[in-house]
Amino acid sequence: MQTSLAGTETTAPTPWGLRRMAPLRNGSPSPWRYAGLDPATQTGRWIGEDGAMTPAELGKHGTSVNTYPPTQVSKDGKQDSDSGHDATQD
Amino acid sequence: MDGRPVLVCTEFEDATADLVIAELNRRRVPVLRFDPGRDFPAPAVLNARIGAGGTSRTKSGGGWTGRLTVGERTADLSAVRALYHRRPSPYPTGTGEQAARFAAQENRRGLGGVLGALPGCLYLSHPQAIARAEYKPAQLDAATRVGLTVPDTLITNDPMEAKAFCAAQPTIYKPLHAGAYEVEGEPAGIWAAPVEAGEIDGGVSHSAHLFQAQVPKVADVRAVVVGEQVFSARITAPPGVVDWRAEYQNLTYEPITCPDGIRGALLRFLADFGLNFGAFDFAVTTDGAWWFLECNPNGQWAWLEDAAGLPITHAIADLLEDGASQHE
Repeated sequence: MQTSLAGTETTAPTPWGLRRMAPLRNGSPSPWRYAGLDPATQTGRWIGEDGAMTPAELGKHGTSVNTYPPTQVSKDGKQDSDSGHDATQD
Repeated sequence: MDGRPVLVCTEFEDATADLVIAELNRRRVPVLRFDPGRDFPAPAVLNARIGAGGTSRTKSGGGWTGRLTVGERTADLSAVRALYHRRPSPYPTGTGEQAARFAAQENRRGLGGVLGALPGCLYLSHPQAIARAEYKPAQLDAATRVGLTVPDTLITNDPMEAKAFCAAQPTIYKPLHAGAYEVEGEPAGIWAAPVEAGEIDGGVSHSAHLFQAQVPKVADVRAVVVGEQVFSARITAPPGVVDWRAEYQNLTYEPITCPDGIRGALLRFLADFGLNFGAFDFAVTTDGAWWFLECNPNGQWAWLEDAAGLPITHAIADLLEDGASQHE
Protein backbone atom coordinates (compact mmCIF):
# COMPACT_ATOMS: atom_id res chain seq x y z
CA MET A 1 0.00 0.00 0.00
CA GLN A 2 1.42 3.35 -1.02
CA THR A 3 0.53 6.48 0.87
CA SER A 4 1.67 9.98 0.21
CA LEU A 5 4.43 11.11 2.51
CA ALA A 6 4.16 14.73 1.47
CA GLY A 7 4.24 16.99 4.48
CA THR A 8 4.99 14.19 6.94
CA GLU A 9 8.17 13.32 8.81
CA THR A 10 9.98 10.70 6.72
CA THR A 11 13.11 10.37 8.86
CA ALA A 12 13.04 7.33 11.14
CA PRO A 13 13.30 8.31 14.80
CA THR A 14 16.77 7.59 16.19
CA PRO A 15 16.83 4.60 18.54
CA TRP A 16 18.54 5.22 21.88
CA GLY A 17 21.29 2.65 21.22
CA LEU A 18 22.36 4.27 17.96
CA ARG A 19 23.58 7.34 19.86
CA ARG A 20 26.35 5.13 21.28
CA MET A 21 27.88 4.59 17.89
CA ALA A 22 31.46 5.79 17.60
CA PRO A 23 34.37 5.36 15.19
CA LEU A 24 36.17 2.08 15.87
CA ARG A 25 39.76 3.40 15.70
CA ASN A 26 41.07 0.18 17.23
CA GLY A 27 43.44 -1.01 14.55
CA SER A 28 46.28 0.16 12.40
CA PRO A 29 46.34 0.07 8.61
CA SER A 30 47.49 -3.18 7.10
CA PRO A 31 50.81 -3.01 5.25
CA TRP A 32 49.51 -5.72 2.92
CA ARG A 33 47.80 -5.12 -0.37
CA TYR A 34 45.72 -7.82 -2.02
CA ALA A 35 46.82 -8.71 -5.54
CA GLY A 36 44.46 -11.42 -6.72
CA LEU A 37 44.08 -15.14 -6.32
CA ASP A 38 46.76 -17.60 -7.35
CA PRO A 39 44.81 -20.12 -9.46
CA ALA A 40 47.28 -22.90 -8.63
CA THR A 41 47.05 -22.60 -4.84
CA GLN A 42 43.59 -20.96 -4.58
CA THR A 43 45.07 -18.56 -2.03
CA GLY A 44 45.50 -14.79 -2.21
CA ARG A 45 48.64 -13.00 -3.27
CA TRP A 46 49.61 -10.27 -0.83
CA ILE A 47 52.07 -7.49 -1.56
CA GLY A 48 54.02 -6.13 1.40
CA GLU A 49 55.56 -2.72 1.95
CA ASP A 50 58.74 -3.93 0.31
CA GLY A 51 56.80 -4.79 -2.84
CA ALA A 52 57.38 -8.52 -2.41
CA MET A 53 54.45 -10.82 -3.13
CA THR A 54 53.79 -13.59 -0.64
CA PRO A 55 51.00 -15.89 0.49
CA ALA A 56 49.32 -15.26 3.84
CA GLU A 57 51.24 -16.74 6.74
CA LEU A 58 50.18 -16.88 10.31
CA GLY A 59 51.52 -13.94 12.27
CA LYS A 60 53.44 -12.61 9.32
CA HIS A 61 51.53 -11.84 6.21
CA GLY A 62 48.34 -10.04 6.94
CA THR A 63 47.20 -12.38 9.67
CA SER A 64 48.34 -10.71 12.86
CA VAL A 65 46.17 -8.80 15.29
CA ASN A 66 46.87 -5.56 13.46
CA THR A 67 45.69 -6.75 10.09
CA TYR A 68 42.57 -8.77 10.53
CA PRO A 69 41.34 -9.20 14.08
CA PRO A 70 37.60 -9.32 14.52
CA THR A 71 35.64 -6.11 14.23
CA GLN A 72 38.54 -4.05 13.10
CA VAL A 73 39.32 -2.04 10.05
CA SER A 74 41.27 -4.18 7.67
CA LYS A 75 42.76 -4.14 4.22
CA ASP A 76 40.82 -1.68 2.10
CA GLY A 77 38.96 -0.17 5.03
CA LYS A 78 36.34 -2.89 5.33
CA GLN A 79 35.55 -4.25 8.75
CA ASP A 80 36.48 -7.87 9.28
CA SER A 81 33.70 -8.58 11.71
CA ASP A 82 32.83 -11.62 13.75
CA SER A 83 29.84 -12.42 11.60
CA GLY A 84 29.14 -12.79 7.92
CA HIS A 85 26.00 -11.90 6.01
CA ASP A 86 24.07 -15.01 6.90
CA ALA A 87 21.66 -13.50 9.38
CA THR A 88 20.88 -10.62 7.03
CA GLN A 89 19.92 -12.95 4.18
CA ASP A 90 18.10 -15.73 5.97
CA MET B 1 44.25 -41.06 -2.22
CA ASP B 2 40.92 -39.37 -1.57
CA GLY B 3 40.25 -37.07 -4.51
CA ARG B 4 37.03 -35.60 -3.17
CA PRO B 5 37.30 -31.80 -3.07
CA VAL B 6 36.69 -29.32 -0.28
CA LEU B 7 34.65 -26.29 -1.36
CA VAL B 8 35.65 -23.01 0.26
CA CYS B 9 33.00 -20.30 -0.08
CA THR B 10 34.53 -16.95 0.73
CA GLU B 11 35.41 -13.50 -0.56
CA PHE B 12 38.70 -13.04 -2.38
CA GLU B 13 40.44 -11.01 0.31
CA ASP B 14 40.08 -13.60 3.04
CA ALA B 15 43.54 -14.26 4.47
CA THR B 16 42.01 -16.59 7.06
CA ALA B 17 40.72 -18.87 4.31
CA ASP B 18 44.20 -18.67 2.74
CA LEU B 19 45.68 -20.27 5.87
CA VAL B 20 43.25 -23.18 5.78
CA ILE B 21 43.60 -23.70 2.02
CA ALA B 22 47.40 -23.66 2.30
CA GLU B 23 47.18 -26.38 4.94
CA LEU B 24 44.80 -28.43 2.75
CA ASN B 25 47.25 -27.97 -0.14
CA ARG B 26 50.04 -29.35 2.05
CA ARG B 27 47.86 -32.38 2.72
CA ARG B 28 47.08 -32.71 -1.00
CA VAL B 29 43.36 -32.29 -0.41
CA PRO B 30 41.76 -30.83 -3.58
CA VAL B 31 40.22 -27.39 -2.99
CA LEU B 32 37.78 -25.37 -5.06
CA ARG B 33 37.58 -21.82 -3.76
CA PHE B 34 34.92 -19.43 -4.97
CA ASP B 35 32.64 -16.62 -3.91
CA PRO B 36 29.03 -17.57 -4.71
CA GLY B 37 27.82 -13.96 -4.48
CA ARG B 38 30.41 -12.72 -7.00
CA ASP B 39 31.49 -15.69 -9.12
CA PHE B 40 27.98 -16.72 -10.19
CA PRO B 41 26.53 -16.76 -12.83
CA ALA B 42 29.95 -15.96 -14.31
CA PRO B 43 32.57 -17.34 -14.31
CA ALA B 44 31.09 -20.20 -12.25
CA VAL B 45 28.86 -22.71 -14.05
CA LEU B 46 26.42 -24.95 -12.18
CA ASN B 47 24.88 -28.18 -13.47
CA ALA B 48 22.97 -29.93 -10.71
CA ARG B 49 20.55 -32.82 -11.18
CA ILE B 50 18.32 -34.93 -8.99
CA GLY B 51 15.47 -37.34 -9.71
CA ALA B 52 14.56 -40.91 -10.49
CA GLY B 53 15.47 -40.74 -14.18
CA GLY B 54 18.52 -42.15 -15.88
CA THR B 55 20.64 -39.06 -15.60
CA SER B 56 21.74 -39.61 -12.03
CA ARG B 57 24.96 -41.45 -11.48
CA THR B 58 23.42 -43.01 -8.41
CA LYS B 59 19.94 -44.45 -7.92
CA SER B 60 17.15 -42.33 -6.53
CA GLY B 61 17.88 -41.32 -2.98
CA GLY B 62 21.47 -40.60 -3.88
CA GLY B 63 20.99 -36.86 -3.73
CA TRP B 64 22.25 -34.10 -5.99
CA THR B 65 24.70 -34.97 -8.74
CA GLY B 66 26.39 -32.84 -11.35
CA ARG B 67 29.18 -30.32 -11.48
CA LEU B 68 30.27 -26.93 -10.31
CA THR B 69 32.98 -25.45 -12.52
CA VAL B 70 34.97 -22.34 -11.63
CA GLY B 71 37.85 -21.50 -13.92
CA GLU B 72 39.92 -24.59 -14.49
CA ARG B 73 38.51 -26.45 -11.49
CA THR B 74 35.45 -28.65 -11.40
CA ALA B 75 33.80 -30.23 -8.38
CA ASP B 76 31.59 -33.32 -8.61
CA LEU B 77 28.58 -32.26 -6.53
CA SER B 78 27.96 -35.84 -5.35
CA ALA B 79 31.51 -36.11 -4.02
CA VAL B 80 32.17 -32.89 -2.08
CA ARG B 81 33.76 -33.97 1.18
CA ALA B 82 33.29 -30.69 3.01
CA LEU B 83 32.14 -27.10 2.51
CA TYR B 84 33.87 -24.32 4.43
CA HIS B 85 31.41 -21.42 4.61
CA ARG B 86 33.77 -18.61 5.61
CA ARG B 87 33.03 -15.09 4.36
CA PRO B 88 31.09 -15.33 1.09
CA SER B 89 29.85 -12.04 -0.33
CA PRO B 90 26.08 -11.61 -0.15
CA TYR B 91 24.13 -12.31 -3.33
CA PRO B 92 23.73 -8.85 -4.87
CA THR B 93 20.18 -7.62 -4.45
CA GLY B 94 20.26 -4.82 -7.02
CA THR B 95 18.68 -1.49 -6.28
CA GLY B 96 15.04 -2.21 -6.85
CA GLU B 97 15.54 -3.32 -10.43
CA GLN B 98 13.26 -6.30 -10.99
CA ALA B 99 15.65 -8.34 -13.16
CA ALA B 100 18.44 -7.95 -10.60
CA ARG B 101 16.14 -8.87 -7.71
CA PHE B 102 14.91 -11.90 -9.61
CA ALA B 103 18.45 -13.06 -10.39
CA ALA B 104 19.54 -12.56 -6.79
CA GLN B 105 16.71 -14.69 -5.42
CA GLU B 106 17.13 -17.41 -8.02
CA ASN B 107 20.90 -17.50 -7.44
CA ARG B 108 20.60 -17.60 -3.68
CA ARG B 109 17.97 -20.31 -3.69
CA GLY B 110 19.37 -22.18 -6.70
CA LEU B 111 23.14 -22.16 -6.24
CA GLY B 112 22.94 -21.51 -2.50
CA GLY B 113 20.22 -24.11 -2.15
CA VAL B 114 22.25 -26.81 -3.94
CA LEU B 115 25.37 -25.90 -1.95
CA GLY B 116 23.30 -26.34 1.21
CA ALA B 117 22.00 -29.78 0.20
CA LEU B 118 25.10 -31.65 -0.96
CA PRO B 119 25.00 -35.38 -0.21
CA GLY B 120 27.44 -36.66 2.39
CA CYS B 121 29.05 -33.24 2.79
CA LEU B 122 30.39 -31.93 6.10
CA TYR B 123 29.48 -28.28 6.60
CA LEU B 124 31.69 -25.90 8.53
CA SER B 125 29.11 -24.77 9.20
CA HIS B 126 25.81 -24.97 7.32
CA PRO B 127 24.87 -21.40 6.30
CA GLN B 128 21.33 -21.74 7.57
CA ALA B 129 22.57 -23.06 10.91
CA ILE B 130 24.91 -20.07 11.13
CA ALA B 131 22.08 -17.69 10.27
CA ARG B 132 19.85 -19.13 12.99
CA ALA B 133 22.63 -19.04 15.56
CA GLU B 134 23.45 -15.38 14.82
CA TYR B 135 20.37 -14.40 16.84
CA LYS B 136 21.43 -13.48 20.37
CA PRO B 137 18.04 -14.29 21.92
CA ALA B 138 18.30 -17.85 20.54
CA GLN B 139 21.89 -18.06 21.84
CA LEU B 140 20.95 -16.96 25.35
CA ASP B 141 18.11 -19.47 25.44
CA ALA B 142 20.33 -22.32 24.20
CA ALA B 143 23.13 -21.35 26.60
CA THR B 144 20.70 -21.49 29.51
CA ARG B 145 19.41 -24.89 28.45
CA VAL B 146 22.87 -26.47 28.05
CA GLY B 147 23.85 -25.33 31.54
CA LEU B 148 25.96 -22.25 30.92
CA THR B 149 25.64 -19.30 33.29
CA VAL B 150 23.93 -16.36 31.60
CA PRO B 151 23.76 -12.80 33.01
CA ASP B 152 20.27 -11.38 33.57
CA THR B 153 19.19 -9.93 30.24
CA LEU B 154 16.35 -7.65 29.15
CA ILE B 155 15.31 -7.04 25.54
CA THR B 156 12.76 -4.27 25.35
CA ASN B 157 11.48 -1.15 23.63
CA ASP B 158 9.87 0.04 26.89
CA PRO B 159 11.86 2.95 28.40
CA MET B 160 10.36 2.46 31.88
CA GLU B 161 11.32 -1.23 31.99
CA ALA B 162 14.79 -0.38 30.69
CA LYS B 163 15.25 2.32 33.34
CA ALA B 164 14.12 0.00 36.15
CA PHE B 165 16.45 -2.77 34.91
CA CYS B 166 19.44 -0.40 34.76
CA ALA B 167 18.65 0.85 38.28
CA ALA B 168 18.50 -2.68 39.70
CA GLN B 169 22.17 -3.54 39.10
CA PRO B 170 25.24 -2.39 37.17
CA THR B 171 24.14 -2.81 33.55
CA ILE B 172 25.62 -2.76 30.08
CA TYR B 173 23.98 -2.07 26.72
CA LYS B 174 25.02 -3.89 23.57
CA PRO B 175 23.44 -4.12 20.12
CA LEU B 176 21.78 -7.33 18.97
CA HIS B 177 23.66 -7.24 15.66
CA ALA B 178 27.10 -5.85 14.87
CA GLY B 179 26.50 -4.37 11.45
CA ALA B 180 28.92 -2.37 9.33
CA TYR B 181 28.16 1.24 10.17
CA GLU B 182 29.90 4.53 9.52
CA VAL B 183 30.24 7.85 11.29
CA GLU B 184 31.19 10.60 8.85
CA GLY B 185 32.68 8.07 6.48
CA GLU B 186 34.72 6.31 9.14
CA PRO B 187 34.00 2.67 10.12
CA ALA B 188 32.03 2.76 13.36
CA GLY B 189 30.39 0.46 15.85
CA ILE B 190 28.85 0.22 19.28
CA TRP B 191 30.87 -1.45 22.00
CA ALA B 192 29.24 -3.16 24.94
CA ALA B 193 29.42 -0.42 27.58
CA PRO B 194 27.91 0.47 30.98
CA VAL B 195 24.64 2.36 31.11
CA GLU B 196 23.16 4.30 34.04
CA ALA B 197 19.41 4.45 34.63
CA GLY B 198 19.56 8.22 34.17
CA GLU B 199 20.76 7.82 30.60
CA ILE B 200 17.60 6.00 29.53
CA ASP B 201 15.01 8.07 27.68
CA GLY B 202 12.20 7.74 25.15
CA GLY B 203 14.65 6.81 22.40
CA VAL B 204 14.50 3.26 23.74
CA SER B 205 10.98 3.03 22.28
CA HIS B 206 12.28 3.43 18.72
CA SER B 207 13.79 -0.07 18.43
CA ALA B 208 14.52 -3.24 20.36
CA HIS B 209 17.35 -2.80 22.88
CA LEU B 210 19.39 -5.38 24.78
CA PHE B 211 20.40 -4.61 28.36
CA GLN B 212 22.40 -7.05 30.45
CA ALA B 213 23.61 -7.22 34.03
CA GLN B 214 27.30 -6.31 34.02
CA VAL B 215 29.48 -9.24 35.08
CA PRO B 216 32.19 -8.12 37.57
CA LYS B 217 34.85 -9.78 35.45
CA VAL B 218 38.59 -9.97 35.94
CA ALA B 219 39.25 -11.27 32.42
CA ASP B 220 37.58 -12.50 29.26
CA VAL B 221 37.82 -15.86 27.53
CA ARG B 222 37.33 -16.64 23.88
CA ALA B 223 36.74 -20.35 23.39
CA VAL B 224 36.95 -21.49 19.77
CA VAL B 225 35.28 -24.85 19.17
CA VAL B 226 36.14 -26.82 16.02
CA GLY B 227 34.20 -30.06 15.81
CA GLU B 228 34.78 -31.48 19.27
CA GLN B 229 38.04 -29.67 19.96
CA VAL B 230 37.99 -26.60 22.21
CA PHE B 231 40.72 -23.94 22.10
CA SER B 232 40.53 -21.32 24.82
CA ALA B 233 42.45 -18.13 25.44
CA ARG B 234 42.25 -15.83 28.44
CA ILE B 235 42.17 -12.24 27.21
CA THR B 236 43.19 -9.52 29.62
CA ALA B 237 42.34 -5.92 28.79
CA PRO B 238 43.40 -2.75 30.63
CA PRO B 239 41.40 -2.07 33.86
CA GLY B 240 37.95 -0.66 33.26
CA VAL B 241 37.63 -1.93 29.67
CA VAL B 242 34.29 -3.72 29.29
CA ASP B 243 34.56 -4.67 25.60
CA TRP B 244 38.02 -5.94 24.69
CA ARG B 245 37.43 -5.32 21.00
CA ALA B 246 37.80 -1.60 21.75
CA GLU B 247 41.40 -2.08 22.97
CA TYR B 248 43.04 -4.39 20.46
CA GLN B 249 46.40 -2.74 20.81
CA ASN B 250 46.50 -3.34 24.58
CA LEU B 251 45.43 -6.93 25.12
CA THR B 252 47.36 -9.89 26.50
CA TYR B 253 46.53 -13.48 25.59
CA GLU B 254 47.17 -16.70 27.43
CA PRO B 255 46.09 -20.19 26.33
CA ILE B 256 44.05 -21.90 29.04
CA THR B 257 42.24 -25.20 29.50
CA CYS B 258 38.48 -25.16 29.17
CA PRO B 259 36.86 -26.76 32.25
CA ASP B 260 35.21 -30.10 31.41
CA GLY B 261 31.76 -28.91 32.42
CA ILE B 262 31.98 -25.89 30.13
CA ARG B 263 33.39 -28.01 27.30
CA GLY B 264 30.42 -30.36 27.43
CA ALA B 265 28.02 -27.43 27.45
CA LEU B 266 29.72 -25.87 24.41
CA LEU B 267 29.40 -29.10 22.43
CA ARG B 268 25.71 -29.38 23.38
CA PHE B 269 25.22 -25.75 22.34
CA LEU B 270 26.73 -26.39 18.90
CA ALA B 271 24.76 -29.62 18.50
CA ASP B 272 21.59 -27.72 19.37
CA PHE B 273 22.19 -25.34 16.45
CA GLY B 274 23.72 -27.94 14.12
CA LEU B 275 27.05 -26.07 14.04
CA ASN B 276 30.55 -27.52 13.66
CA PHE B 277 32.24 -24.30 14.78
CA GLY B 278 31.66 -21.61 17.36
CA ALA B 279 33.69 -18.73 18.81
CA PHE B 280 32.32 -18.20 22.31
CA ASP B 281 32.89 -15.15 24.49
CA PHE B 282 32.87 -15.46 28.27
CA ALA B 283 33.47 -13.09 31.17
CA VAL B 284 35.47 -14.65 34.02
CA THR B 285 34.95 -13.57 37.63
CA THR B 286 37.37 -13.81 40.60
CA ASP B 287 35.84 -17.15 41.67
CA GLY B 288 36.78 -18.60 38.28
CA ALA B 289 33.20 -18.79 36.99
CA TRP B 290 32.68 -18.47 33.21
CA TRP B 291 29.68 -16.28 32.29
CA PHE B 292 28.31 -16.79 28.78
CA LEU B 293 28.19 -13.54 26.82
CA GLU B 294 27.69 -14.69 23.23
CA CYS B 295 28.63 -17.12 20.50
CA ASN B 296 29.89 -16.03 17.10
CA PRO B 297 28.85 -18.98 14.92
CA ASN B 298 31.25 -17.88 12.17
CA GLY B 299 33.61 -15.80 14.32
CA GLN B 300 37.20 -14.78 13.69
CA TRP B 301 39.96 -17.02 14.98
CA ALA B 302 43.20 -16.59 13.02
CA TRP B 303 44.44 -13.65 15.07
CA LEU B 304 43.88 -15.71 18.22
CA GLU B 305 45.83 -18.68 16.86
CA ASP B 306 48.80 -16.36 16.45
CA ALA B 307 48.36 -14.40 19.68
CA ALA B 308 47.74 -17.36 22.00
CA GLY B 309 49.46 -20.18 20.14
CA LEU B 310 46.32 -22.23 19.51
CA PRO B 311 46.54 -24.72 16.58
CA ILE B 312 43.14 -23.85 15.11
CA THR B 313 44.15 -23.97 11.43
CA HIS B 314 45.14 -27.62 11.79
CA ALA B 315 41.92 -28.47 13.61
CA ILE B 316 39.83 -26.88 10.87
CA ALA B 317 41.85 -28.63 8.17
CA ASP B 318 41.43 -31.93 10.06
CA LEU B 319 37.67 -31.54 10.11
CA LEU B 320 37.45 -30.56 6.42
CA GLU B 321 39.84 -33.33 5.36
CA ASP B 322 37.94 -36.00 7.30
CA GLY B 323 34.61 -34.83 5.87
CA ALA B 324 31.37 -36.36 7.02
CA SER B 325 32.73 -39.88 7.48
CA GLN B 326 33.54 -39.46 11.15
CA HIS B 327 30.57 -37.33 11.99
CA GLU B 328 27.58 -39.15 10.57
